[in-house]
Amino acid sequence: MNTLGATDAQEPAPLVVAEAKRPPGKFRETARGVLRQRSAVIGLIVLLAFVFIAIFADQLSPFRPGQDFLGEPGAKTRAAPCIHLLGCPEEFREHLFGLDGNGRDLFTRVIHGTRISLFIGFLTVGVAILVGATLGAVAGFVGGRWDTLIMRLMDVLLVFPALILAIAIVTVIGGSVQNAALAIGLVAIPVFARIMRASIITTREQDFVIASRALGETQRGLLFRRVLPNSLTPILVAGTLGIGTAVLDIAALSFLGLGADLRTPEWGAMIGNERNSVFAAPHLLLFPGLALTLTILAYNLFGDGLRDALDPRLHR
Amino acid sequence: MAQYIIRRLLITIPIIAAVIFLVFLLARVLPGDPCIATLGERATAAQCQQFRIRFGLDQPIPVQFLLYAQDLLSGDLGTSIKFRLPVTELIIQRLPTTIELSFYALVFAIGIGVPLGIISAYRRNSAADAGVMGLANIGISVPVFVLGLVLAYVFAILLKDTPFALPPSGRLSPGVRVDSLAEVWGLEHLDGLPRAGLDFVSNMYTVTALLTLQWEGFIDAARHLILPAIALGTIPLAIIARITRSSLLEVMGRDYVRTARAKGLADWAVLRKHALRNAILPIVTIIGLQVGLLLSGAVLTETVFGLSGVGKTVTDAIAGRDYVVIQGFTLIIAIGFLMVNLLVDVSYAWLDPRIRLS
Repeated sequence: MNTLGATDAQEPAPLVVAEAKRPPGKFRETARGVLRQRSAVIGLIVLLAFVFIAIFADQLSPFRPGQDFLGEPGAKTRAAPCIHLLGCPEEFREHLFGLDGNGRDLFTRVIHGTRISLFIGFLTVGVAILVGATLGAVAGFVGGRWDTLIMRLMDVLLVFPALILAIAIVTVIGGSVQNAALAIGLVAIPVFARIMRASIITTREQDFVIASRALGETQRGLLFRRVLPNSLTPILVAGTLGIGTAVLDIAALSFLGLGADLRTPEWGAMIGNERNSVFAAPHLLLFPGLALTLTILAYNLFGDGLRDALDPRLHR
Repeated sequence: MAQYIIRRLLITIPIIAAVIFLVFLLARVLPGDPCIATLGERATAAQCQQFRIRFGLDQPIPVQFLLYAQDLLSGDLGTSIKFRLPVTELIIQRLPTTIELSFYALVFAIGIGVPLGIISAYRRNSAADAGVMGLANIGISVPVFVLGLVLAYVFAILLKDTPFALPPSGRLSPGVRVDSLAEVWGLEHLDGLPRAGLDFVSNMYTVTALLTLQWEGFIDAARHLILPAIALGTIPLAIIARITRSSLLEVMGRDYVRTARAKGLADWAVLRKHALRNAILPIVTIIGLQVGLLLSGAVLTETVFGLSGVGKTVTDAIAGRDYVVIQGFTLIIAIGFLMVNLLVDVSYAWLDPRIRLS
């Protein structure tokens, strides 16, 4: 813990050589901190497994996500899983997770859903961070009128509960996976802007920044070389935890019928389409639900680990 | 204290104005012609012209906004296209369901989350701590709609015909009814605002049943609320448990706690008199933040459990392109959310004098 503390503490080091004397390898130090925590490692392993599944979805899944099996022996809509090892007749085709309401192989669709949830979640939060962090950085660093203008706007956006605002936005721009992602991204911007601003303001007032300014560093150099690199920790952590939330919210929009359509193998939409079959065919909800929960859990575990590794104050 | 509240209220006014403007804009940029949406595809140009004049849609946007604001001030939120009811009427019918549901979800979350957090902090690094925090991690990660469906399956199908069976949908069993306050108290002649208030409360079935001692109705309504409240309250519960633990751990390392221990105070007295009081601020913050999450979650919970609350009304309105309802309900939700945040800030000031004075 103490070695970690040294990387973060901004001691009034010898002024001119401050950069050269910085302990090397902050990245490696952080990685080691993350890997020291069992839960974060579990999260990371699960995430890597999902990334693997997403990349090789075509090779891993036995069928195509749109293929329907109606008319084959034993195949009917919402058929229960058929696994030969567990006594399913040999003449029936094997479907590990059963068939969905349109006679499509659920296992294939759950596997392909990995692509959408991982990719869209990542993209959504990436864009939200880019916009939100820029706004927050400008507000925090420039201050004055810009600060007031940007942050009041963010305040107004924050007045709406996230999902409700996202629903309203999707109503305007139309329902699709991309638009759901866009709406969730827009809704997340104020949160990231606030975090970034708070972080920038704290860093701006630290001794090493003031010293750098006294040495004649330009405004731009101050922002990009001194303040920004030292203000990224909170946004990084919030971003990782935010991906979990984004995956969840996009699935929620799809569940409500405002995101992915019937053809797209998206977990939220799969659950939403079959929610009335919960009593007759619970497997249709169980498998996509488990996949969704596992993904979000993995992001949360990893995000928590990252936070603990980057913020030594939390170690006690 | 009063000064602080007034100052906070004054800050809220421009935000409400901005929210109203935003919601107004939202309805203007919605795709599709409101005339076609209201009168149907076969409406003629002349009918549409008449429709626009009637609803002021032929006026310039700034004038429309003023007209809209004027209507708002007189308590008119427009008339629902789909239900052919004033939106205010719909709010009186539907909002109480959501408030009732959110309230029980929050009670569940606080009532279980805070004690779990305390146990975890006191038995730090024990098996109990690891178990609670592991469960909290899972609790935060399960989507409301997945948990809701799982609960419905377990309690309505697997436990069917056992004493633990619980109804998976609706607010009351068939045949059971809760008489409204106006009926029970013989106040049916009332109208206007007092009647609206009375009906509003009447639509919270457990409250009404309790006030008028309709025990059968109370038990039935409460049984219908258990599963939705658990589904909705689980994520907040997990978050509250985590914050309670970390907040307590931080405080328990302080000198004054050690002093209290050293002078021989019993464990629970240290907790109650010293630790909890100083740890409560972050917990209250988090509870306040949960309200937004509860409202978002309520949309999903109501859909899963077939409760006609605010969330279900909004999603139905979207499906039916009922712009007026979307507008009215979004506004009400935003203002309600704003008021809750205000309440949280005021409770801070009450809990921590430093905030009040700064």
